[in-house]
Amino acid sequence: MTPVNNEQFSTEQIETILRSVQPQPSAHFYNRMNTAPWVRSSTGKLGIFYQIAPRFLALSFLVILLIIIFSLASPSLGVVAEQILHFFILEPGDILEVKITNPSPESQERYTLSLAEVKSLVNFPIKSLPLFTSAFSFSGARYDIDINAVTLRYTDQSHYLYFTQRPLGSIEEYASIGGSAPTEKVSVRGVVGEYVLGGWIYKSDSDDMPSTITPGSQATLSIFWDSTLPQSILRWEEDGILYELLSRGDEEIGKNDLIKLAESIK
Amino acid sequence: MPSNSFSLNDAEIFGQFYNNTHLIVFRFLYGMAGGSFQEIEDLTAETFFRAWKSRHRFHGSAQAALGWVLQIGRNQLIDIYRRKKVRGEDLILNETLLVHPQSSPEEQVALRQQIQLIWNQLQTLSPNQREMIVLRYILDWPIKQIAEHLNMTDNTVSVTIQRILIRLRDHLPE
Repeated sequence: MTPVNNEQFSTEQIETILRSVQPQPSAHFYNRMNTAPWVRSSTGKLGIFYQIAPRFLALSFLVILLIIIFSLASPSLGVVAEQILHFFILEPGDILEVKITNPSPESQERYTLSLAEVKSLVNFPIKSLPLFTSAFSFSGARYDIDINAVTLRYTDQSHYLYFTQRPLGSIEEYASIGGSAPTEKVSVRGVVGEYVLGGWIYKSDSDDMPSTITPGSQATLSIFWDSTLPQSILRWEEDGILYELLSRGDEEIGKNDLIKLAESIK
Repeated sequence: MPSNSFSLNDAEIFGQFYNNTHLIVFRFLYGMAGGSFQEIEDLTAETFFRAWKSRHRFHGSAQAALGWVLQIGRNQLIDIYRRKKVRGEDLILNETLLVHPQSSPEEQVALRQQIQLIWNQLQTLSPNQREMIVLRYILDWPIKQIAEHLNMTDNTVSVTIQRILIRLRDHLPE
């Protein structure tokens, strides 16, 4: 478009100039909207975790496990763990280097067991959310033989809920969280538990993940603690069993709602 | 319920709706508020976030959904207007709008000045008048669509827009 030559505009020229105003949002805007709640929901209801490539999603549980093992190797953390039963252990910072082994593709579908099947695999009582009294429905279970833990997965319209339970002594009883993560002591089912908001994420735009990983190969990842992640975790111990209720979704499930869910477990 | 009604409850449908309308909403808010791109992008994002949270309350056609989202954005703008008025800030046209690669540098400077003159005059219009201009010229809506959106007759919209254009012309510095 060229400027109007006349010193006095006509209404037609004003119309032409107004029509030329066609702003476009910046790349920053589109990047931001890539994590909008409807995008996260339509890509699988797991929030930001669904933005990550499927193979990385498959690694997430393995990463958590390795964080625990990594923490055990740290003498200072071991001392802390001996002092008192902490459900969460603060890392010195919000960035953690973890080594992972890429699982084979066939190991990526993990929540394939029914409640009855998973109960038959363990020698401790399995609790579960009561059916029909909650908005959540059961969507599969898994058993991790390495840590003797059962995880039941539930879903509602906008959240995934993971209920993990394992006997004390299976592994050291704490999980690593970011240095800035605020934990809160809460009363749950008549005992003292701990609640934390946020979670570790792997940022797909970081350059430490090789572009291709063959099954069984190893890689070192930098993962970041994100306190704004809509993930909330509640941990408590009851009758020798460690329980963890973890929710992920469009928005975090509030502390009180998570405690209510925990109270309803039978 | 009208036969052409659709629901925004489903995330995938909402996502398609966002894809089809975000540019319209962004331009609408820019035309109405001016200001920095960052501010308008934040407003656009907030508009859709609010729509997402209230999606269960919407019932109507696709066209009505667009009108509903624009109304959400417009409501946010009322506060912006008030704040800017209190602070006495000018609404500056973002210069990135005015880059026309096919124009010479001299033409771009002249065009920038002309658009800024008109943009300054737009600030003197009432929000309703400004909305008509934005819908008609920046969003390129036909008169009939504007009339339906604003719940006015075609004739009222047409006449009002002509009057606004004349007012803009008469108040532009020579």
